[in-house]
Amino acid sequence: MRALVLCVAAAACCAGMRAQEDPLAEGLRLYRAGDFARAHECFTTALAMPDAPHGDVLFHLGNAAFRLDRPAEALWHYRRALGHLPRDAELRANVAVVEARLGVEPPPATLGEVLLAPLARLTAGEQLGLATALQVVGVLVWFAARRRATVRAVAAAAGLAGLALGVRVAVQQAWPQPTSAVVLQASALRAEPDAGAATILALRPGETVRVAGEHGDWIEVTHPLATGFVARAAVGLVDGT
Amino acid sequence: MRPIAAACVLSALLAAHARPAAQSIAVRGPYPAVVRTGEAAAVVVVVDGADAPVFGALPAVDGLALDAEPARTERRFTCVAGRMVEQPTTLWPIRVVAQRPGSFTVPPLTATVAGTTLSTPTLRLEALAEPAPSPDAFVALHADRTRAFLHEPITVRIRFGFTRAFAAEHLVPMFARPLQVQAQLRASFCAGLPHAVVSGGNAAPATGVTFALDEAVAHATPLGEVEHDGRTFVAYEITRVLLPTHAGALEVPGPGLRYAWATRFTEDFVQGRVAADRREGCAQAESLTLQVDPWPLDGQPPEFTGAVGRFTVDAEVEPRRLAVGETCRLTVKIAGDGDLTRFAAPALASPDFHVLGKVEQVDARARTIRYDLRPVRAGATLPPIGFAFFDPASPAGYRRVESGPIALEVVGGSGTETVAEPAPRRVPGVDDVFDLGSTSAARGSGPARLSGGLLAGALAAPWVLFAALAWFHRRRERARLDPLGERARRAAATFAARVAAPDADTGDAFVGYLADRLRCPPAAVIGPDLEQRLLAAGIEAALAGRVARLVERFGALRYGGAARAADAGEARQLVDALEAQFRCGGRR
Repeated sequence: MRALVLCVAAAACCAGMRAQEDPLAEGLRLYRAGDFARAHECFTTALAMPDAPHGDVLFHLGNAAFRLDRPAEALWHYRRALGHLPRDAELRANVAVVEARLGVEPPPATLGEVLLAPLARLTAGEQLGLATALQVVGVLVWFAARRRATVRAVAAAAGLAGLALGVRVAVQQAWPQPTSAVVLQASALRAEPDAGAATILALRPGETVRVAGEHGDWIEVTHPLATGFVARAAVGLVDGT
Repeated sequence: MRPIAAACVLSALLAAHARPAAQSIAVRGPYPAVVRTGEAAAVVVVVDGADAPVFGALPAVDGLALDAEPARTERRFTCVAGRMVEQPTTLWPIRVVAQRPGSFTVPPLTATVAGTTLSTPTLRLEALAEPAPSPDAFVALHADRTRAFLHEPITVRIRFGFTRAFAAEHLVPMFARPLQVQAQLRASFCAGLPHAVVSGGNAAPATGVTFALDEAVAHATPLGEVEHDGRTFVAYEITRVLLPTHAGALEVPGPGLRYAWATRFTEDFVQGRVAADRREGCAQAESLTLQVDPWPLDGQPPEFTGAVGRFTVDAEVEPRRLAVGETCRLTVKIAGDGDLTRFAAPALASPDFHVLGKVEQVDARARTIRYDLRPVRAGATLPPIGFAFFDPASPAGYRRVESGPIALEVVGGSGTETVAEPAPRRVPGVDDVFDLGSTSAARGSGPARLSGGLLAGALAAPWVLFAALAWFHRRRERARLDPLGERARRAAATFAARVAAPDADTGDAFVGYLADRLRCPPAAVIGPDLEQRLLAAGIEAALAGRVARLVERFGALRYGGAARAADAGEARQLVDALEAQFRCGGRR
């Protein structure tokens, strides 16, 4: 009997160590077994590990939240995952499915977003590679085409564009700033960062708003219909990386 | 304000396309140029090329009220002769209201820029007389409440009518198309409001008398004779239901009524009774301001999904007895007097059942959701279906209702036996998400942040390359501009190459080396002052003497002197020694 108890305890201990060592694998195992709540916990743990594949973890975290019937949270994780997996067709399909289920639509794209749409389909690493390539090509062409002013101007423009892109990526990586937020629960958009301020708009779970600033426990957001403040606890922030 | 905004946009667009001028003034408007008495026209004065123009006082015009708004400055970039030039444009909106009918001339408006006064041309505005509201017609707007919660339907009724005598004796058709009520109702909100969904209402008449609603033919319900402001009218009514989608003030603009009437008629052989003095009349209703409150956040149940009203929920399952692995259909019916479309269906989170799919149907009074379920174990039971909604009726608050118990018997197996995962019937990407069942676990993303080393390397690499290329380029340029110096720097290598060649002439090679180092032609090396020139180039005296003597010997060899085998070796030693001294302190 004692041996049996020891065996069970050892197995539980091994499982616990395994979960500590690789929470992503453990989360996937639990997800396959249908234990979505514990899978969610494991994915959350994995998310805190700096070397974990964050796009994958956020994708699975979103799936777990969806299975737990928390679609707004799922949408939040999917939107964060899009920063790491911008061309993942299944991830985009999941976003569309959850938005349809919540009855919300993505915010209309601004002119800047339309212009930078091709860049948005690249990961931060790919953008950095593109920036470096543009600069290298610009430098090489600059020195190679010494007597052709037009070519040198184009090369300088390419190099400067690459430099700007590289600096942008570096700034986003070094000081990540939230650019949008997903409303996680029905909440009020208020005129001032105060719980007693007038309500401008009722925000529905799953609505995506743009972040204009942060004021303590309040986030200044821009909704297509109004601009105001929403409690930080009611939204999930999505940074621009 | 709408004409002013339109005029501002128009002005900005025109200004954006205009060629930049040093300082100029222009005026846009009035827009519209012909207004009815009491209506406003917009005028915008545009000053280009000045940062802070000082506008003159508004002129006084009898019969017009001019009201200036604060001027605003916009900055735009214009390409002038290939250069980007920033140019300020100041817009000064002015609202002009006609107080009486007539034709008006507004004197030039002025602006002072850096001591120079700029003037606009004179403006002309035509004001028409507004038809006086007739006591024989009325239009009114009513709402069943003035305060409501988000998603709470508000019924709005528009009543209009004429006195019986007026309708019978004076009303004439407005349009060629025959209508039962010769009137046009202008109610733009019926087509939609910015923050509300407008629908026809439950009691929208399929039949009734025809009339013109904006530019379409609509039906109104005859109300018979009703009292309004102490007079009796033959009235008609249309109903619309507003469903507020945003909290805050919701303004419903008052509808207007237009009709044509006459007092004298002539008899036409073809057309019958024809109006001889046809004129138009109108009536206007007051606007309504409704207050829309958001749902309270306190006490909001987690299963609340936006249903507002008062609802009941009913559930039944068919068949009531089935085996594990078979499917049954659960029908949940949510009925009530609220909006049935703006909430999500109740989620079934029972671990004993797989939800294979659901179908929804909405009609006027109920929303029916049919779930296809498959029990995974014997003895599984379905809990009552709960549904949370916000009841705006006093006292307003959240309510939760449940269906009755759902009688279902699942047989087969030992009671704890589970069936295998059923084949998914949901389609990922359509009504389900892609997850492990439909995709690979690894999606190939990287860590959350790029490493600092990678960032620094990627940012620095192009600049390192730039610096290297710049150094290389500078070196090449220097060599190109100083060929003698380049010859001097490469003298030793040239000497080594020449003596290594077959049939090499060591004497020529040595003299060539000295010529390269002394930056002179080879023929100029041989001379009596060679030793002094070497001393002047920084070579020690002993070494200079040896070099001079060796050059003499090579000269003698050229003119028939005896060759010494040791001369070639000595030449190499002397080149090495000379190189050392040239590099240390000599001329390079």
